[in-house]
Amino acid sequence: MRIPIVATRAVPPPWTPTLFTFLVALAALLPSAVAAQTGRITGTVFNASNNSPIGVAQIRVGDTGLGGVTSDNGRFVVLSVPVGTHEVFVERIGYRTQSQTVQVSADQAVAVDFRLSETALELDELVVTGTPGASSRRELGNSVGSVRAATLQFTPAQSLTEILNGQTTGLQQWRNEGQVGGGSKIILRGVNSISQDVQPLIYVDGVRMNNNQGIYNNRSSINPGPGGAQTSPNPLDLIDSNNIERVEVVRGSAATTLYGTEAAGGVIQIFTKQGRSGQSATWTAEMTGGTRFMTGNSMGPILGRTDDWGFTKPWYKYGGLGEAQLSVSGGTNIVRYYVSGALSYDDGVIDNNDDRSYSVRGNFSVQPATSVDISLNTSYVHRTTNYMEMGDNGSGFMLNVLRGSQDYTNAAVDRDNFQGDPDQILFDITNSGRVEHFVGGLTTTHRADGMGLTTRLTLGLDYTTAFNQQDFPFDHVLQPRGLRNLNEWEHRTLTFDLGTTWEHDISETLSSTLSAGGQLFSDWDHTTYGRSEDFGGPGEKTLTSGATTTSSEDLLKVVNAGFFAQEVLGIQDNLFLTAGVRVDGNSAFGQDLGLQVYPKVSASYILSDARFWSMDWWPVMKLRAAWGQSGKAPGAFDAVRTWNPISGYEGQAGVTPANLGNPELGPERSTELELGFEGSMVDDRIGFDVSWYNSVTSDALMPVTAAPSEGFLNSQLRNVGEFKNTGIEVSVTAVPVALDNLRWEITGQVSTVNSEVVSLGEAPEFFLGWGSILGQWVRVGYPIVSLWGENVANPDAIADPVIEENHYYGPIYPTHILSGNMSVNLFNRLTIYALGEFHGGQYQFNIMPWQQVRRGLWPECNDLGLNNADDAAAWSAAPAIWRARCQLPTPNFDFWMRPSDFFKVRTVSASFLIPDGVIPGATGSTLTATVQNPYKWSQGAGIDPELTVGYYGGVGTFPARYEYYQLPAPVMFSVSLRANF
Amino acid sequence: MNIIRKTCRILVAAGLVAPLAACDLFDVVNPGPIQDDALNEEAAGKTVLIGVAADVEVAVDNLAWLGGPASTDLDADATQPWLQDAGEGRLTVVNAETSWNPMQLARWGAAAGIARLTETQSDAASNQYLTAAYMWAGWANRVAGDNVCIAVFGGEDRDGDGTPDPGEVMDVGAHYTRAIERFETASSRAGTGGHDSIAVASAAGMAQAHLMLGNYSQAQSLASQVPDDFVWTARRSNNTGREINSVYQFTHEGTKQITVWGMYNDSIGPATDPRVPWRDMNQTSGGGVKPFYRQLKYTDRGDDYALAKGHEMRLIEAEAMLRSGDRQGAIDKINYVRDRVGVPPVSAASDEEAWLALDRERNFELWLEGRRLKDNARFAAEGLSSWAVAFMQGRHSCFPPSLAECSANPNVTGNAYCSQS
Repeated sequence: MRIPIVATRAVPPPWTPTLFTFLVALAALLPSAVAAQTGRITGTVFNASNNSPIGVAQIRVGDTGLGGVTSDNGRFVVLSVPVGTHEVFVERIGYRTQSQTVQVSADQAVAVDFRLSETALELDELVVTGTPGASSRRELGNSVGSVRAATLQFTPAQSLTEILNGQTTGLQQWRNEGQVGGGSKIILRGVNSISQDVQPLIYVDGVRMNNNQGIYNNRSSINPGPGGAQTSPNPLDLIDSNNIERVEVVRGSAATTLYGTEAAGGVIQIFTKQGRSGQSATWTAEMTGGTRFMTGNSMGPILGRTDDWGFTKPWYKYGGLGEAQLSVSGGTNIVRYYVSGALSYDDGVIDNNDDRSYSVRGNFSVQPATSVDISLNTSYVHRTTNYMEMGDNGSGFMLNVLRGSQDYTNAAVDRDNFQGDPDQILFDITNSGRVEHFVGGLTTTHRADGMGLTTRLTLGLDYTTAFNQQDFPFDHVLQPRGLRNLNEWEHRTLTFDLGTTWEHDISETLSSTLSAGGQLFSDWDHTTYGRSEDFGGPGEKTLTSGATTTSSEDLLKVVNAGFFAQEVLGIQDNLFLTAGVRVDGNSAFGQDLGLQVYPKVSASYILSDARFWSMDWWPVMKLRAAWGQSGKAPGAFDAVRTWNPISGYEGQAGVTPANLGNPELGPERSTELELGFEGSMVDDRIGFDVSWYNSVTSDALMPVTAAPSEGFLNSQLRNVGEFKNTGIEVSVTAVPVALDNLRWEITGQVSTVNSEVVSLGEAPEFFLGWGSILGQWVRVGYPIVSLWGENVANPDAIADPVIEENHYYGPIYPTHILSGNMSVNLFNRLTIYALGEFHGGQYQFNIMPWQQVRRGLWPECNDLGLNNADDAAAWSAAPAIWRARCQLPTPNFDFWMRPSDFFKVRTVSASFLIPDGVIPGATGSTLTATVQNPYKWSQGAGIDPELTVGYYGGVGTFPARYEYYQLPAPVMFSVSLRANF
Repeated sequence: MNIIRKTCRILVAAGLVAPLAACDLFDVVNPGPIQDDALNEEAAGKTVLIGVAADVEVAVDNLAWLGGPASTDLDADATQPWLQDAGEGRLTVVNAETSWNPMQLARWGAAAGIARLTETQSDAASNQYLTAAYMWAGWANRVAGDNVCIAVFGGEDRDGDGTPDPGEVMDVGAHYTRAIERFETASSRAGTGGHDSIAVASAAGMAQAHLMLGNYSQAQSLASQVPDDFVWTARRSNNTGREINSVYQFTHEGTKQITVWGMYNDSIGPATDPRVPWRDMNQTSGGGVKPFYRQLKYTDRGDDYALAKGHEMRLIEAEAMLRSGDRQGAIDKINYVRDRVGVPPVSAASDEEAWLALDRERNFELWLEGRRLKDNARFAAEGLSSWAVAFMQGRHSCFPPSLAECSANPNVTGNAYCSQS
């Protein structure tokens, strides 16, 4: 076992390598007589909530000047402690300071462990705000959500998007597929754009990462053709969650001003683990094994109660999963390192769906001089996923299986000769996606402490290649000619980020932090598509195997650059006033548009530091206010009038009208006012964070419909709309019980979002998605997006339906999200953790049940006898709403618009701290059993109201949503063993 | 001194990026879509013409498969409601997105192509691309006239202020009038340029348009200029997805949501008339309800649609004769065509029987070419064919303006056809 040995002062001097080597050698040569008058203090520092070890905790031995820091496994050793009684202190930002008294004997080691409680609110915690230096929460006029590493312990083998569920206020997430490798879309503080992607910006250790997930989309790229899996992983899921130290979620324009033109959707900052100075190599190994399986509950409230879950049950299987991860970290005062590697496999609950990945990460830092720190953070992920055809897709698994014999497979096969279930032919279709992702950043930080200057330069590269392919074998009945369809995408984002922060005291009571800098981001995408048909015979195929081939290519570059300046004025260290401005240019702006300016101001006041504040039971109270703007740039071609090159007869080149263009096109501009307060009370056992925000998006890019008779069928983007999102976010953490052998923590969060279309300018009201029949409209005075249609005014009456035209059902996105988690720690060994989430207020269009009704296969209608048009008794006894919903042969779509509130238990886990010695050489080891998605309740009739059609959560770039024959998320059970050496 | 140095460092940090904004940093030109100015080169003339023709051919393709269930050609058994609506005779602003919009694109594209070629081609007076563009503009208008409820000519600068104006609502006959004008120009230019086939095609197109305008003698005269074997096509090919024959694709590949079952032709069959070949596939159609009878007129993705052919011209002559009271002359023309395709002759003891025979004959001859919606409507409206009258009960006779047109064109918003549902 190797543990860190640091015998020095609490604040280590800036030793040079030579001096360090000399001292180590000197210590080894010291005569035993000196050692005989001292002893050693050893121990481990744990998180009291979950028994996880705490690294980088400061150890201080009374007033001896001795101490050190804990390694990543929480272990520490302090050498040469004088014999006698000492009080040992442990300090770590984010935790309450703790001390214990120890008796040190000559030439002996005394062991002492600490269990630190997290503080409900830590004002000195540092967060990243877009400036070179991190800011303390004390200074911030806005709220920043964070997910700490301790949370990650309860969620082994989960993707980062899965981990983010329910962890911070203002975040909602929509999955588009329950297959392994399925994707999701993240929305912060509601939908604030209907023409541009609302996915937040992603930064990994300061390097911007691609956030366009459409490209990973496993979907037929060249029409016509079958639809593929209709899903794609979120770019966040390309980051190995084992390597994450913490995640910061920056919501709202008041907080993202310094991120500029592309930040109106928010920012997610990911910080990966780093090596520690003075820490010898610490190895961490983690092994996870488990399974996924479908349950009746997974299949929703209607189909789930049928014997065969709508014909699907025989097709499901138990899918195995496993993951192995190994990391080592450590460092000297000069060099620090964190290196890790991981392998994983994950099999879905149906054949043809599996995922394999491996990843490596190397984070290295060197401190060539006391004022300079150079860090290189790199990671590489290789991921291969096989999918089943799914979703709104004639070759889809759920679509065909749920429709029984009235489906496309039965229609396709020769029923006189085909043996077995025709749906079996779906498994002959293969879909696969391969993603390789590299992200690397070189950051140089120079601190001139005497002058208060911190200068940081980050150069970064995010590089991804994605390859998707879809194959119908020769003579497949759904594609008799055979088909090979593929696309290959290459993406590069370059980051250049230079900035300086100057901290200085103007007077005893007045401090200043002035920051300025600039960034340049360059995105480059290259996509090639290929399609091949008419195979000559069976066997493995390439594009050249087909007699008919087509191909196309897209090349796209977008440059965004700008600069910022910000001043934070601190008054008596309890009032902080911030003013800043961001100026941006973007290559996608129209020719007539210049640089864009985004201002911000904010204030933070530590009320509890005021002289009049005398409530000892309420030690921390902070008031804050922030106002700011950020933007959302249009797409690369939106401003330009273009014609699409087309192939005319026999491949001759032609053109057809494409984009009408708009030379005045600019970014959307979101302006947000946020007010809030945060604090802690009752001996730091209750913490709270409350925010109210009002965000107005002006100059919203609206797809103004062009009259087809004027030639251009595509709508023209114009900056004419205005939207409003208002909400309250409340987070409360409490520790109701904190005994020696029992600790109970609970966290509750409430987020509300009330959106409204304030104006559409000159654009007419319009619908989103699959034609107006979906009823998803953007209408002035109503939420973004609202559901409209015919309604049965007398739903419960035993009578014919009374139809109400043009009825407003409600928003398609939730108006309130409640989440809660709790952990119970027993005997400092066993931690039980549970996380649940409720989404309420949204309506959903249940198109899948509508299709099932037409085929007499929907249990709600069949139970009432309404699957038989001639059963007069059944129809006369049925309530009006069911007469409307079950009408044969085809009911009106609109009657299948229903409320779709849902509650899900996301995670339940039990984590056991294994006593040292059980695993030879290991310390702080944990055994964790986790169940993911064990239970859901939903109000809607579909399979899962959280699912939404669209390759990244919407139809095209629009935020429409509806459920249509997607696979729901199955239950996952896993056991994970983590050991530190 | 220190303060100045520190301030300079901060300004440098910002200044390193700020000058970049003033440079050409943001002048990014992405390849791919062709920018408008690039088409003003003389060398782009052929590209412009190919685009004009291709847009008309795509519109014809859409009308052939969507117009099939909307008319007597096919039935729909669809899971997509807008297609199911078409099969049940409901032609709405929603399924008009697939019919109205491509037709308007084709019509506007042809007009814009003529304007651009006139400006960019140095030999505009005799330029062959321009001649062909006029002919395709004629086809675009004839196709629109056969299918839409109203005519709207948008994108023209009628008030002379240099910007295009929204189109006004006009009677659908305006499409035929404009088609005749374009065909006449093409025909006269073809005559001087030696493009005989364009001249013949233009004569055929004019015959079709005059027939629909009720100018039967002119139609008959123009039709007589077209030989029996002449065919002018909307070309399809295997080359790209945009070029394939969608009727073939929807009936031979994928989800098979349109079927011959239940339609007029399912009682005819290939043994009766080779112009309406189909086969019972012993399967259900894509919607899972109706038997799937596969059409066999198009058996390849590259099969072309006829825009005009000699046999149709003979039937135009037959109709003109019938309208002028020459019943036997009309029946002779019909039987002339039937003899050429190898089916037995028909007879008519009354005008009613003659009209029915003509209606059926046009149905066989124009099957799956996107032509029958207008025929069904006019034969029913005039009470000429009992079968057409029965078929059109409760069905719409034309495609209304699309939802986009109804929303975005202030001259169309509120038009009664925008409420067709």
